[in-house]
Amino acid sequence: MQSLKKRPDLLIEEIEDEVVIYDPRTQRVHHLNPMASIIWELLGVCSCPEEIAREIVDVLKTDSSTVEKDVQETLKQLQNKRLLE
Amino acid sequence: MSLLTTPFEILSFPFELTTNDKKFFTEFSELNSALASPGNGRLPLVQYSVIKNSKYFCIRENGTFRNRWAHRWPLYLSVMMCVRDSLYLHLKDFLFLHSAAVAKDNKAVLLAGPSESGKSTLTLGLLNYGYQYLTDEVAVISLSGLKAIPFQRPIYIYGWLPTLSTERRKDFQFCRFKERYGSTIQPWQYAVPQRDAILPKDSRFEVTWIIFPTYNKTQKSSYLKPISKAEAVFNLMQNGWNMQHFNDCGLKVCSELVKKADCYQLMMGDLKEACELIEGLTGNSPVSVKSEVLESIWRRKALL
Repeated sequence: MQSLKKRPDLLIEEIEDEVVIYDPRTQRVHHLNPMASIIWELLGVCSCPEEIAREIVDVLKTDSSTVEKDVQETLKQLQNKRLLE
Repeated sequence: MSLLTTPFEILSFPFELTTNDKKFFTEFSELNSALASPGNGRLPLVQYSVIKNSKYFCIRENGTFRNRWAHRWPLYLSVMMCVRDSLYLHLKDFLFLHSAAVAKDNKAVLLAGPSESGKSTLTLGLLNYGYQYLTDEVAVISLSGLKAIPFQRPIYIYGWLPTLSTERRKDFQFCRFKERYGSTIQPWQYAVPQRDAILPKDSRFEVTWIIFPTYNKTQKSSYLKPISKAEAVFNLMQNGWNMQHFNDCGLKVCSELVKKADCYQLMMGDLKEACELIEGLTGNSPVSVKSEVLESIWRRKALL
């Protein structure tokens, strides 16, 4: 089961429709593109990847299989970069 | 052997240099003239010594060995690297970025990027277009007001080709040297700002444009591409010299800086074209900017 909780110690700036994250633990900076930024925002609201994908499909009226793939891929990257708990 | 001592201040931080080499003492004073102010009697917080013995010049910082060189030419750069480290460590009121900067009409253009991205070349190129020299390596941003402050060290550039127009050459003194890398010898030159190019130490410039140049020698032309503010913050933070001291506010400072500026990536193949693009961008000569670039600039402005 993938963790969908953002690490609480991260510093986050929302700039226009994108997100920049600074990780004080590793002193690394991360840039999320608009789609990844939407997924990041929904992490605080949705309880599972499928729910995130449904939210995005509802709003963007786009192909659900592509969105599901994007969500899975983004969550995997966020986990690899240790931005999730 | 007699010792020569000079107190000096950079960004109001007091230093002192002592050496037994008269030639280096003179060279250091000349190269440092635009960057430093004379010491004003305050006790130095960091003392450097450059002592020549039979084989080497030994550099010490507050008595601790830092480096040694067989030749005189790397000494200034080596001492200044120590000076920069001290500034990064001790000064908490400034953000130091790995960036060149020039200014016109009190507005600064930051040219941020890693080594060999073309910052110094571009800086010298832009001087031919009437820009003032702020820095070629260390952009200093005051945390109060987020303004750029001059850090006018000599401009170091690879190669011996003339880079400044006759008109601007009088503002800089050029010196050449050769550096040995293994079996190859590389030509370098540095341009030391002279009287008319030296800015008052209390000058402040609005950061209006932030450009991230990338030099590509296989590319024939140059072009500018608008980038998102978030990408600019990301790039800027990667080019911070003292970002580690701003854990809690570094991201905030960079994003505030970026919010007030227009941000671009510059792919640079041709220097003249790159300079003209920047000049067009900063509103001085739009006719020299290619139409498609202008369109993208206007589109970007419309979005903002």
